[in-house]
Amino acid sequence: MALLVGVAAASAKSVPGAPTIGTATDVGTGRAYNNGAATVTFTAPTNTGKMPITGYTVTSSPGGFTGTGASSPITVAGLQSNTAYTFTVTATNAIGTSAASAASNSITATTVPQAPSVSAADVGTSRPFNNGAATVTITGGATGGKSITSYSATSSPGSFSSSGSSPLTVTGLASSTSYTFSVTATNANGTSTATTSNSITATTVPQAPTIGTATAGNAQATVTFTTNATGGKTITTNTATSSPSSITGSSASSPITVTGLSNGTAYTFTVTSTNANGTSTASAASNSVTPVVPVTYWMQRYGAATLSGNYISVTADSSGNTYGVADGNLSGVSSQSDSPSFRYAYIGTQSTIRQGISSNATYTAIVSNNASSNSQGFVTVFNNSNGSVAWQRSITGTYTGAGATTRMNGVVIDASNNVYVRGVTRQSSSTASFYHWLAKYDSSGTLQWNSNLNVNTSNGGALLGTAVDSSGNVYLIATRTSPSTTNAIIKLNSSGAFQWANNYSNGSTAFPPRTLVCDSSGNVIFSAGVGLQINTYQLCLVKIDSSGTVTWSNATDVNGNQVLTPYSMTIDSSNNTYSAYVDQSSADNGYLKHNSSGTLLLQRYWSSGAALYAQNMTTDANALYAGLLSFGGSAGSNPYIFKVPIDGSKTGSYSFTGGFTVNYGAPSYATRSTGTVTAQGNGGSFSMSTYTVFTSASSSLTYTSYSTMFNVSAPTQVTL
Amino acid sequence: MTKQFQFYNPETGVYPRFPGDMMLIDSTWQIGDTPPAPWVEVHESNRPENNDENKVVIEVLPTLIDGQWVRTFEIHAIQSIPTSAVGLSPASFQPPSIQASDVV
Repeated sequence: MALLVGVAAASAKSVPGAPTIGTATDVGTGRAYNNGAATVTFTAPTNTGKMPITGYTVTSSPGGFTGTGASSPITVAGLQSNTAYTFTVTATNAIGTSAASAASNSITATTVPQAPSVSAADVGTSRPFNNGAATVTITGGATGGKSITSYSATSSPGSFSSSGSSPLTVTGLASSTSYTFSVTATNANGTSTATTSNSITATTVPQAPTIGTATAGNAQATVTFTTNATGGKTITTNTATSSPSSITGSSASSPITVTGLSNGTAYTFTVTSTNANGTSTASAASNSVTPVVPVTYWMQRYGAATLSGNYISVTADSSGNTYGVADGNLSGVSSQSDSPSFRYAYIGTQSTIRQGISSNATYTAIVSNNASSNSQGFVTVFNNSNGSVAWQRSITGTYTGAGATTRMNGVVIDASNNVYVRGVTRQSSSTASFYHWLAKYDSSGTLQWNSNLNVNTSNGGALLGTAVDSSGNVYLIATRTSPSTTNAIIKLNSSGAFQWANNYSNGSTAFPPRTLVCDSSGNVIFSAGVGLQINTYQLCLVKIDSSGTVTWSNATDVNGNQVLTPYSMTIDSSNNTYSAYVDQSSADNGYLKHNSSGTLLLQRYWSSGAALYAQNMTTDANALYAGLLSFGGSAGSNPYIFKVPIDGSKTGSYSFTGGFTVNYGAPSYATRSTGTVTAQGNGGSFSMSTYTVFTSASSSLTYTSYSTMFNVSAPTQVTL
Repeated sequence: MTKQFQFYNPETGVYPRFPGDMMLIDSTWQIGDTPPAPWVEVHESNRPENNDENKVVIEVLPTLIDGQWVRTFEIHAIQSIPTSAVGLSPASFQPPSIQASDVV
């Protein structure tokens, strides 16, 4: 029985013995947050309990997460991230489950990170247009047991993304567009699930404005523009910047006025828009403009309405003041500013005839004659600044017998304040001894030289225009009628020594030079009237060099059939010439502007009920000033100063007391092509039902210079 | 002889204008450029000879010949009207002179 019991006992089935625990290892990689895993190895028990072991169970501690399997190793999942675990193993057979093994080594379960908590914000400041940015800040989320190596944020829409450490900056966002961001965290085990951020609207600096038009003013310019997209924030200001010099002006809206510019300098402008985020890129550059001194155009009666005047001359200083001088019972030197006040400084007595005038920037020189005697002339130089007399000289001839004569006919003052006086003096009792001469005074009134040019009044001779070049050479127009009609340009050097005299002719019967100017290169341009055909008179311009050789010539007519007489001339700093003409057929007068090559640039006229003759003209950088003398008309005969734009850009009517209106403008065929216009030519009169005016011609003229004309002898001195 | 330039506006009949006028219309315009539309350049033509003092040569609006606008002239007879009838006298148009004969 005992044996049976022993056999029975030896063959009894039981639960297995406990397995021998091996090693627990964290799985980590790819494990979702709080779903970690560990693998556990073990050794099967030698005591299977006489029954096949059907499986093993690994149980975590803590948590009691289990894993089962038929053999080692076994994985236990569901572990909490970043939590320490040990494991025991049991074996199970048909009888039951073994005792637990010893506890394994401890492991810490790791996983991917927890989905982060995020907050998104617009960056805005300084962001370029359509390149906005958002800051994505990760504010929470567990690591999953391993350090987070990076975060990633991706926009919606647009899929603009950024990765790295918190905070992230996502760029490239379109201005004024709403975005959310999908954010993940990554550690060595992998990437978390995504979190969607709050929505933000991306803002930037504004879009660059569209440039409009720049318009020049006085030391300023006005720039128009159109603003574009705001960048998501209100545009607070717009700024125009000059090139060169980067001078700026700002405005909340178009236009912008940029001040502080230099007159005479060409500028372009770009415009930027600014909002709270910053300033846009610049617009395209504007058109180029050149600020200029403001020009007011006016015509000023010189003296009382009933004043009858004779000669009138004007000059202008750099401040826009003009100075005029006229001959008349009440007039003298006068100044005129652009915000007009009109002042007088009387010259001499009412019996003094003011015969010739000239001005430069500093002085005005006047020659006058004693109305009660033929034997004395005066030259007076005034300070333009205040009208005071700088110096005055009296001139008389040495012949004091019956009919003694010394008369002044003209004066020129050069840039160095030297004064050149033209006059005529009777030298003996002979009625054929009226000789014309030129005298030069320095700036203090000291006589430098005087030259008798042997132009004798008895043969119809006269000295007309005078011009001085920058080297002090003097050019004169000399004419005579006997023994033959001659018209010449004479050159004297700065010492008064005779250089040459040339007669210029195109073969027509009349080619009298009228006036002349010197350019900045020592050339001379003179005007002459010429009859090309019957009833056709043209204004001719001839440019000669310092040796008298013709450079070019041209001719301009008015309507091809009119009586066009050249009158005064002036020249600007670019060597453009302005030649006043007298259209004796239409009572319209005006000027022609030619460039230094002789190309006609502009033709402008002035007309009124009276004939207005341009006695003298001058220019500054912006304006042409003409001293006009009216003959007849409702307001009587009066001298005027007329200021008009140098580029011919302004036209219009100027009205004066007594209903006297002057029209100034460009030639207008249309307004003059109807109606009857009466014209005068060659001693007759005619009228036409249609009429064209102010055309220019370029008739081919051949000028010939003669070196032997005009019997000019070596200059001799006259005694003054 | 300097080449001259003059321009005509066929749409308005305004004529003539010159390079400076074109520059006022378009500040970038230079001599030799095509004028700003609708302005056209008017080319020279032969002015009729006139040796009859009872006739005058009149320029009228340019005409388009072979695709080119050219200056156009007509010869008109002068109608004699007494000066007094039109309120003009030769003396009224004589410029004041500074010739010696006036002051001696």
